[in-house]
Amino acid sequence: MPLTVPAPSALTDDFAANTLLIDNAMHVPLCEDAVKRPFQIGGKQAALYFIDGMIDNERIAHYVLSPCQQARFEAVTAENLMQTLLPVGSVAHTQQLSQVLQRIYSGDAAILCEGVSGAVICDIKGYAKRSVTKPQNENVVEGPQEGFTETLRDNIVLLRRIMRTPQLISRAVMLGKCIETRASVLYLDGVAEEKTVEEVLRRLSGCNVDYISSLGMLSQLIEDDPMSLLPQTILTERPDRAASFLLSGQVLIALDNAPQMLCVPINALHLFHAPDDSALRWQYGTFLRFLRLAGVLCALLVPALFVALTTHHTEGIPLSLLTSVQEAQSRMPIGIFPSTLLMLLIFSLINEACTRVPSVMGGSLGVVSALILGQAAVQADIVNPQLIVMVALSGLGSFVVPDYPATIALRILQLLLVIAGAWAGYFGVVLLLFLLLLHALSRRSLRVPLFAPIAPRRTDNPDLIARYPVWRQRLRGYIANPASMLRARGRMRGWEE
Amino acid sequence: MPETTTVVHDEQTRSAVLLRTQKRENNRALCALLYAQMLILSALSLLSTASTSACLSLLLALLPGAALYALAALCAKKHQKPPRPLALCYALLFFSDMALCLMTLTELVCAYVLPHHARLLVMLAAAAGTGLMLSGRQMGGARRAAAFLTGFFLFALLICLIIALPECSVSHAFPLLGYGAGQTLRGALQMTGSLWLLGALPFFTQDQPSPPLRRRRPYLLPLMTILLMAFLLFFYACLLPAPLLPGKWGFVLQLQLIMEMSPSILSWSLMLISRMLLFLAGFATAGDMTGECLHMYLPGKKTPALLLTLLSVPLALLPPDKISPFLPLRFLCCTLVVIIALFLRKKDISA
Repeated sequence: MPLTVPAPSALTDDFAANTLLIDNAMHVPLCEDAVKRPFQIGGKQAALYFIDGMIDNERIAHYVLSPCQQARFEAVTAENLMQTLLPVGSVAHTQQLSQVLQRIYSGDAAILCEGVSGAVICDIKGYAKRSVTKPQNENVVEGPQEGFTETLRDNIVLLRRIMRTPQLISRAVMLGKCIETRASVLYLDGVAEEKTVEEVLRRLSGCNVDYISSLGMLSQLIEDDPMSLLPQTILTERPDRAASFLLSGQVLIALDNAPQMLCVPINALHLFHAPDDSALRWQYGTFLRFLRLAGVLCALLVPALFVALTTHHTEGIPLSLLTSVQEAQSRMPIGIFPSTLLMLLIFSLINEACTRVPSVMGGSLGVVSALILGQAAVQADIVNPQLIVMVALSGLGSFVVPDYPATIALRILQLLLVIAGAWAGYFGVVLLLFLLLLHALSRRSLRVPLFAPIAPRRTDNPDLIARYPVWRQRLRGYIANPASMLRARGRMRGWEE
Repeated sequence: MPETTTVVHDEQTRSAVLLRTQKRENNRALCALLYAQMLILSALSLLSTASTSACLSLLLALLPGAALYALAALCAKKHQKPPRPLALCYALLFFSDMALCLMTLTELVCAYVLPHHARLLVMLAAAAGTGLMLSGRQMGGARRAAAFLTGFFLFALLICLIIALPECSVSHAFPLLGYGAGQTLRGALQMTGSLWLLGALPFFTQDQPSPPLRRRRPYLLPLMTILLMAFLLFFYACLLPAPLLPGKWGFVLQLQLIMEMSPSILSWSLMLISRMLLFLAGFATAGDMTGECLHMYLPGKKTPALLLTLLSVPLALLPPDKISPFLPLRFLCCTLVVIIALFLRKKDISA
């Protein structure tokens, strides 16, 4: 049976009709984990609906069934149940069948009672979940070591523990037309621009898909240009980084079952910022950022320029190097351009294999692939030894980018640049770089130019390429509400004379 | 304790800053386009024709440019919407710029980079690549890229001059000075006319007038114009190819004149790269502007960038030695812009 949008239907005060409606909707008793528990409240017939394993059995026995079965009411109403009977933190009354089902399948329990119109929902979630652990992909040397988990509520709590202010607003959104997934839009009231928040909500409400499984999928549905190679959103699994995004006036989207949060809008330089940049002294942070920039340039240009120089501009290489390259190349069965492409693809293959194999084997696989395979290839005169150095250097360079999607984009661009270098030498590389610049400068992230603080120029937090001293970062990102643009008035090192 | 002050502290100031930044960016991109245009027209010996006749120079370039700029400024001051037919004329003008830039880029690439490739193939690759990269919902990416690269263009020029000047003769470094100050000045006047023509565009394309950030300084504009003219004059005298070089100096060699004199591979390569980027940036900027003008002419409809860039290919296929007779059409187009603008303005006043 295809997935369909459930037809809106309302519960009445007819107990038999209501239970029949829910039985049909939940496929009771066909579905073995959909539980219907009949009981009585003050002599009236009642039924408790829940999903086995998603609720806390002890709490349901103590705080729902026990008080209800012992109650002595003349007339049972929803208000009586909620106000005097159920000692549960969060209760609600609804008559919408869709809401009842959505809450039941989120781990709540629904009570239906004879004479009560609609259903009373009790929050007694008790499903298995992962505890807070270290982030897997955003490692830092200094700074907190907590990462988001797959539970939406826990993630918001982790964020609230950092941002202890009522200005942190979390707005609930349901995504997916057939199978709904809970999501939250988080922002700092007064710091994030109202129109940015409204735009995020507008795009989320316009996502017309049956089910949203991950933030990556959601990102593709809401970003400005899904055909572009460049990432236009950032995923973070660190609450401290998410908090810093909020402080810059950006908006976060959290999704149930996603151990990250999605940040919009972004500028391209955010992709090269590591979470612990601001925890280090500005000199160290600047050094690391320049190192990262050099890594990116290595990753993009080294293989392409190697191919361009050895194929088209041999006059640009020192004679000793040229001699050794040509001497080694004379023994190779394939030319420099195809062997470079091949090596880059093999490097990506090794990387992908290391990512997918179990972590115990990952290290060994890397050593086997990189050392033994590389050594064997050189000894067998399959590839040029200089080429292996170039490819390894560019591979290392691609790993310094903290953002995983940006790393993949970098690898694709690397291949394109190698092709351009082989076709037209370094002129081809430069021309393709210009076209890429053209592309990058034409992209937007949530209607904000992707390279905005640089091109076009915007008044912004100067912490962009170099890590600016903390006490001089007076401004938030240009994305922030102009009224809250200033982070502090007066000297930030106020104790100084 | 001193209070921190910043220009961005409310919505109005921020939008004013954004508009100012956008305008500055547009101007820088237009300057890059103009420089590319100057180089091409000079290499095509069209500027030399114009610069030998003072009347022609004034009539074809300076007067239309100045008149249009004044008219556009007047419209903007009175918060009036620009007349739509003007946009079409502008679009034609920029479209011809696109073809010129693409043709020059192809000539350079085929001469120095890919000598064994067909012109059509190179042209199609450049046009399709640029069109694809420009495609998207946001216009202005090309102008942003051109503005972003202006620093590089100037840097490359400076480095090349430093390396190449000691190695070549004065007549090669300052080719036009040999023809006298009068001709150089007339050439510069013509370029200033083109500058004004392009400079008027932001008045037409801007949705809303930019609110002043600070008190207006009336002496600044004439001062800036004089400085700009002096700057252009310098470039014109120093860098543009001589108009009456012997026959062996073809179109491509004229574009690379100074570097051909220098034995330095580094400066030659840098110059070639910067020239290629300049023409590609000019092509993309002109494409972007054509798209925006067409959008202004037909509101609500957006012309795909890829279509525009590909459409410019047949025009750019004309060989450089056959293109000169068609170039006065550009000036005719400029004059048409002014006539339409004046006509519509008059009609508006009478209404």
